[in-house]
Amino acid sequence: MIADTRPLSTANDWILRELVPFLVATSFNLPHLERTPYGVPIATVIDPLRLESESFLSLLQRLDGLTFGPEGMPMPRWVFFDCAELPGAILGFGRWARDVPPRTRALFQLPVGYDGLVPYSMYVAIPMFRAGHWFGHNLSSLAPVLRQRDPDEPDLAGLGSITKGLALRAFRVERFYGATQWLSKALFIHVKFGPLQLATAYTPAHQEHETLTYAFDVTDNALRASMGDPAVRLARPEPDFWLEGHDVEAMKVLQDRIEAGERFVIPTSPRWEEGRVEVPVTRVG
Amino acid sequence: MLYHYERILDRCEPYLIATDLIADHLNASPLGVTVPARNRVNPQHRRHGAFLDQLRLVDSLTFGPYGMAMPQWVFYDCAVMPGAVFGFGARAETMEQWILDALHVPSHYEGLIPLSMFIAIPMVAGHAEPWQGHETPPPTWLLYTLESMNQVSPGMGPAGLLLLTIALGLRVFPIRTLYGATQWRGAKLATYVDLGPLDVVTAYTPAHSLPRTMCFRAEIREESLQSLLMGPRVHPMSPPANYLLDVDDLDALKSVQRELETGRRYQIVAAPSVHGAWVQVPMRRFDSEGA
Repeated sequence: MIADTRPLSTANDWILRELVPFLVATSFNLPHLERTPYGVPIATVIDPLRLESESFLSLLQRLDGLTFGPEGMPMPRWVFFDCAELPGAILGFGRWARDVPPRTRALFQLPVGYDGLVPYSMYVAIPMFRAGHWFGHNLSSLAPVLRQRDPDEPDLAGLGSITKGLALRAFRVERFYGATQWLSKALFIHVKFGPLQLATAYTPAHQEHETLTYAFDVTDNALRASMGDPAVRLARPEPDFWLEGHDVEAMKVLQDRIEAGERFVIPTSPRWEEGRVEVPVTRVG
Repeated sequence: MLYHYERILDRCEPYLIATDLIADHLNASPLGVTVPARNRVNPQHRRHGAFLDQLRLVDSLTFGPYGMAMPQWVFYDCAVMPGAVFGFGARAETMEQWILDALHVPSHYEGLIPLSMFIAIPMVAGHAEPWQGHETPPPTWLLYTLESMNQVSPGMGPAGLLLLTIALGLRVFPIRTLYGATQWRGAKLATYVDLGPLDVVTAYTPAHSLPRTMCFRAEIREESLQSLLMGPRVHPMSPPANYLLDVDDLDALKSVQRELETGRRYQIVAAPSVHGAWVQVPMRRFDSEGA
């Protein structure tokens, strides 16, 4: 593997300058992670197996509730432990409690006297069978919440993308898999990594059957593009058709074609217009 | 080795749920018990939806009372995408009506009804570095779920179903080191102890929904499966106990946890013993030299 030593340029370098990156990893998983992804040193490491980590892990769960609760898929505490902290890892950005404005402190219901790190974002991923293959489990960013609820916070635009990009580098991901809903705005973040190869278009095994499973190869250019490096441009094919995000029958038809061996990608961002959500799809094989 | 389990093999069929990403790398004939082609399920294909619905019911009945029923999206994200599911089931037409009623099996359902499941997912620890070769199987796995309907209603499945499920599950996956988490008072701790001495990774786990959860690590050898299936009262590879942990003594759990965090090593060396209201786990507390 050739190290990419180009300086990191993102859509919001303030995040890298002012927020504190952190890793949650057990002592036996930590040696397999990159501690200075793209030259960003991660000095704060939380071992989820230690008693002293309890407060911070509770705040991570609170972050998940603040960002995912409205969509109905908040993560139970045991899921954090069994699915993330034991087998995989979590990377995120936070601020020390003393720097957190009062409204944000109230959002987190910070305990009196707490002076540790407060998480503003996190990316959770789980290793898969093949070395370098990971499944993305959870991306939480407080940016949209704070934009509405705390005007004293600076603009955190790009926090989700930067967190995911840096995490994939820190976890040494070579091929990435994820699942999301056709109507999810997270698709806007996911396509920043390049065209998404579709593994499923309709997924009865998932809580939301209207879930798509996607994959992409993780390259330095994909990561840099995802974080907003203006110097990187990724090739994207033209769409063959647009799938309306409420059209379940279209999803089932596409799923049947995938099961029959055809291959498709989502090449670019969806378009949202007057209640309609249309996702571009290109046949690639 | 499976002589004592033939009754299960007469009544039940093994199944395997695995995506194309992992299916070819798993052993579909563990200890000579072959998973029939009709019971190999790709969770990404639509036609298997009804079977997966039945599987979710097994999980909600077994873990629901702990408040830990697996949300459906967790089953997909955290179980079948990174890992796979192995277990036993029986054909609906061979099951007694009371079981079908208890499991809410639709009258039109035809096919396998899952009665047990074993889910394992790989861990970063021990994994080869990506550039060292993708074909090297991960040696370290997390036992994510182990369930049998007999936990809920003894008699739904043949006796010994849980033991056979874990023993074969450990051969479906290329597991050399196994991590797991279970509750101190849970009945399955006694099963895990039959694998051999368990290194205690945590004794008190506030990161978990149930802090009185313990995490363990076990090395899986051929002897582990033999002892698991035959259930000796004392495992031949276990050192003698020199410490009895009262699992309802919160201070004792925290004390052991604090010692673990300073590097002290503990092993669970035999099944919990129950005397009246006391549940005690025999452990080996090693000195600083590891002896």
